[in-house]
Amino acid sequence: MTDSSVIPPSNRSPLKLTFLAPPVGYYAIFFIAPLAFLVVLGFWIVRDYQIVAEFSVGNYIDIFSQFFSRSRFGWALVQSIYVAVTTSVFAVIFCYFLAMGIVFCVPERYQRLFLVLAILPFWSSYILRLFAWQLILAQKGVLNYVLGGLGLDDPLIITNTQIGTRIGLIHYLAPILIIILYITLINVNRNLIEAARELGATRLQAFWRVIVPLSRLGLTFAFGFGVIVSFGDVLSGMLVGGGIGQSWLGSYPLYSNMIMADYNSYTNLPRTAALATVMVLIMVVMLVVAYRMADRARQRLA
Amino acid sequence: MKSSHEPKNSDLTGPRVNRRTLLKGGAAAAGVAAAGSLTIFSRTARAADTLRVLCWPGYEEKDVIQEFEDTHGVNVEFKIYIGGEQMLQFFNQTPRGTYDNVLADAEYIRKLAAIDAVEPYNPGEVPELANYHPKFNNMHQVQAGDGMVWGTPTRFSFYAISYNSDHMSFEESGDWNSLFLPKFEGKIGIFDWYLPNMGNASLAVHPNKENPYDLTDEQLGAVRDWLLRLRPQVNMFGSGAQAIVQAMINGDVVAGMIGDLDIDLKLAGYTNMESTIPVQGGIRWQEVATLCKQSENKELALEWIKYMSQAHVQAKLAYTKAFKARGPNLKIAEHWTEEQNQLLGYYPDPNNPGQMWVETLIDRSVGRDLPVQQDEKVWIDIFNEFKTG
Amino acid sequence: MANESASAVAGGTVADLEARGIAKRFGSVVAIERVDLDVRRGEFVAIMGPSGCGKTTLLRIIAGLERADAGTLLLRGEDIGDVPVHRRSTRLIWQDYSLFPFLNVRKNIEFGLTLRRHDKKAVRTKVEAVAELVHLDHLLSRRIGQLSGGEKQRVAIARALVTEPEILLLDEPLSSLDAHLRIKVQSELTVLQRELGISFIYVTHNQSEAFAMADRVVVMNKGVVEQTGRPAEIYNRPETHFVAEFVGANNIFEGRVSDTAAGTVVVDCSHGTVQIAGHGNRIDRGAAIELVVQADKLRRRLDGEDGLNTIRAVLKGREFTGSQVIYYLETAQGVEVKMVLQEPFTEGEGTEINSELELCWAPEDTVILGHRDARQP
Repeated sequence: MTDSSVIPPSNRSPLKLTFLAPPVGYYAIFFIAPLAFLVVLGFWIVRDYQIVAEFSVGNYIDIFSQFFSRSRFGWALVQSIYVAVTTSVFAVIFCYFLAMGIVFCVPERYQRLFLVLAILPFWSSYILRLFAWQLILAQKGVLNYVLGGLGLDDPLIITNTQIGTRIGLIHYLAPILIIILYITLINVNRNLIEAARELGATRLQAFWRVIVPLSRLGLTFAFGFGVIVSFGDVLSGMLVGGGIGQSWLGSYPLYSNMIMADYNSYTNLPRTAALATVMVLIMVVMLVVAYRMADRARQRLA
Repeated sequence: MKSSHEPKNSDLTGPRVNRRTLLKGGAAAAGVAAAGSLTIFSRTARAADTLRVLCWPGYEEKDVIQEFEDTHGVNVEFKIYIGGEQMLQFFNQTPRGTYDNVLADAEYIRKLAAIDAVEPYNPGEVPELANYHPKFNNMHQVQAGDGMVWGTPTRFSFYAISYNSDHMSFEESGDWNSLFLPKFEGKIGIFDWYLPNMGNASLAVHPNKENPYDLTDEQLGAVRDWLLRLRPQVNMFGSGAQAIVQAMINGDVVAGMIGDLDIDLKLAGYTNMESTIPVQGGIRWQEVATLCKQSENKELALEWIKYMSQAHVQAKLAYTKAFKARGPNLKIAEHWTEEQNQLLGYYPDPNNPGQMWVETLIDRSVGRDLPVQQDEKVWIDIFNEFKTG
Repeated sequence: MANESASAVAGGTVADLEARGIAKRFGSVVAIERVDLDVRRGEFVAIMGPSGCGKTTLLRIIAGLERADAGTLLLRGEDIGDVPVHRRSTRLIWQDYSLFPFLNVRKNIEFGLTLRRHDKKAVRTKVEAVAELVHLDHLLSRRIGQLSGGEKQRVAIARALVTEPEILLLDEPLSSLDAHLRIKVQSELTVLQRELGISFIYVTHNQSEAFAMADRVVVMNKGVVEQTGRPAEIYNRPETHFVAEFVGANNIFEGRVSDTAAGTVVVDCSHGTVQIAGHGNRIDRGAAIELVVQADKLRRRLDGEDGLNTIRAVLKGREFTGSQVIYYLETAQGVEVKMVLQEPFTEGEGTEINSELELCWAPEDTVILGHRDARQP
């Protein structure tokens, strides 16, 4: 299908090329080139604190030789995937109900206002928000102060655990997920909800059997987005999660944190690049899975 | 990396990347690392009366540099970095000769020398060294051989225990082993960098060792065991001072190997925050002003080094808006208020007549260095094991 | 509903649905002012009216999708005004069918049966039986997106019927089908309704659909019922100005009663006098009334014909529709006149555009509108 003769003449218009150039250039400059360089860099070595363009798989041998022992990059990776997936699940559920509240409970002319309120955090600094969460969730923080006032003696330990990481991440994801899910829900054909009700469905049945299936594409998209962004984030795990946040898997840092620490302490950019390449590879896998899930959801609605 | 502090002739070690590939590498790294100021220096556009300095924050503050600019009728441009690795990236991203001075942590001089970035000079050029604490005149990190030095120390402070005195007593703070007390389980914070922490751990295991970074594999194994034993006490690996400061205020962390964060906390009214160096010893960080080998302005660059060695300049440099530290020139105390001297330890030590408290701390502490007998990767991997343990 | 007693409608005498004094407003907009409606078991009732007349709102109130502001709603004698939508035994066929796109045909049909505890085998049997009834048995595993319009409609009907509703409500179900399919489905629906013996309430704005299928037609306008009756009654004897305008091709003349002697009412209209025969009601002399003459009752007056109402008008245009020709004329006083003939005039009879013709109709074919629509000045 790459044969240019197959393309009808109208598709070869110079105007089309003109308009195609910026996006292609954009991806080439800001996405493909740095990514390609990152991958290549991972196969180079460092000698006397200088990068040497000498092909070697040493970095990967090194990384995978201590994947589940010593540096335990693998456990950090498992922790990251676990936190990213669970964060995204909670974030999607939370934002789905919030978006549903806006779509189904707020009069139409106020919906825009509610939407703006819901995405307001988007305009404040992410780092400041994380510090604020640290302040709220700490053992002697605002939350425990309030709970203590209510007679709860043992403070809730949230900061320096992956629960804290998730809270920071959910706050980060929420504005975007709310928009995605709001658009999803506002486009749910109300007639289909009424049709289900009319056929005998309770409100709850109409939700599970009509609204949820019709939201599948949006939910999949929001979930995939949430997983990939959470997986790539380093700040929430560092500031609210305390760097080595406890989860039921154990007190492992996130993989992104390991990369940052490697970058900050080791004069060996190729190894850091190799670590990052592993992360990018997993993100690509996540993207492919999310894309296939979304495709399936789209087909079901076709 | 062997124990040699001499710059190696890298031409003996196989094909080197040319400057262009290095630049590309630097650009990619910048993309990965993000942080840092956005100043872009153009080599051709520089004026003859301009000095360019790559440094940690603080040096660029008007209070600190104004006098130098006025005296010499020049303009000083600063590129600010955070962390030694970022410093190396920034240096490698620009053509040689862009910077006249690099202000580096003492242990990074070895790396700068290895990439042929700095030039030794005669310490006799810097008369103020006479007023320095002797330990800063004998730093092995800056010795370039033949009586020459790679740089002059300008600012320092300590990397030992910070603690909340409501939870840890003064006596407890004087012993690294106090970190293992059951009451501190899940209450210890660690600064997320292998170098100072492993130095401290090394001193805890090998008290008052002259160079805690010069360990045999067996000695290093003991440090590893000590760290792994400490791990259950730790609940936080802080990426920066701000996160740890807040954790100490919040009560999530009551003590940690996180340096003298108490200075800023005290200034903010948290009088229950203290720091000290345990009797086994602790790590000291020290910034050193170096001369760039490819500088076209070496005379002026040397003038800047001399300028930074003066007590009244260090008095300002160690007390910037960015953060508080200490100066190696002991005359600094004459330029500070009583309050500042109290805060930073420039007052007589009651137990050691004839010397200041800060001198006692300097005596107890050891300058941060790179691992001597092992590759830094071996140490980093042990630290990762500690972190992920 | 004066004509109800006269109509020999199909179905039994048991009331399936009785709506009394139903009213509904949305904010300040009155959707239904006040409506009474009776449907006997097995009856096919069409509710007809222009968009915005309240017919769909009425259907939604019966289905339980809207709550009436006032009035009572009895289904087989039981008040269902407070029964929530999902517990009602009426079923609605939606204008756009509202099939679930993420389910296949079988899952769509069985939807209503699987909402409560159910026996899977029984559901299967029922679904297959109803699919056979509407000729869908070969399409059960298809996706909705793969169906044609007619097939979608059959799925919608099957999905409703499988739940064994007491009344089937249909909201313009043919409007998204193309013309030839519409005729076919019309007859299928009628047959289906007779077979099932359940009442259909059919909402439409299309009079040919209503007249073709319904036992009884209810004409609505602006939230009230204008007229109820068998299709022929509605067509031949419109009772209100609105019905006369909305149904068929009618000529409406305004006039004043000048004489009511001898069973014949004489009315002075702008173009002349009109005689009306066979009108039973008492009408006062001098009363202002409206007369309706169906366009197909008009014809050209032949020489020497007497005893007929005549009107002179100028031919302004004509429209050939295949089976008939519609002539548009205008009197000297500016009143529009329509005439429908089965065959066109033969050429050269003075029937060129702008030529004046003399038309006529029988006095018995003149209908007096019951009242002037109060809301139409």
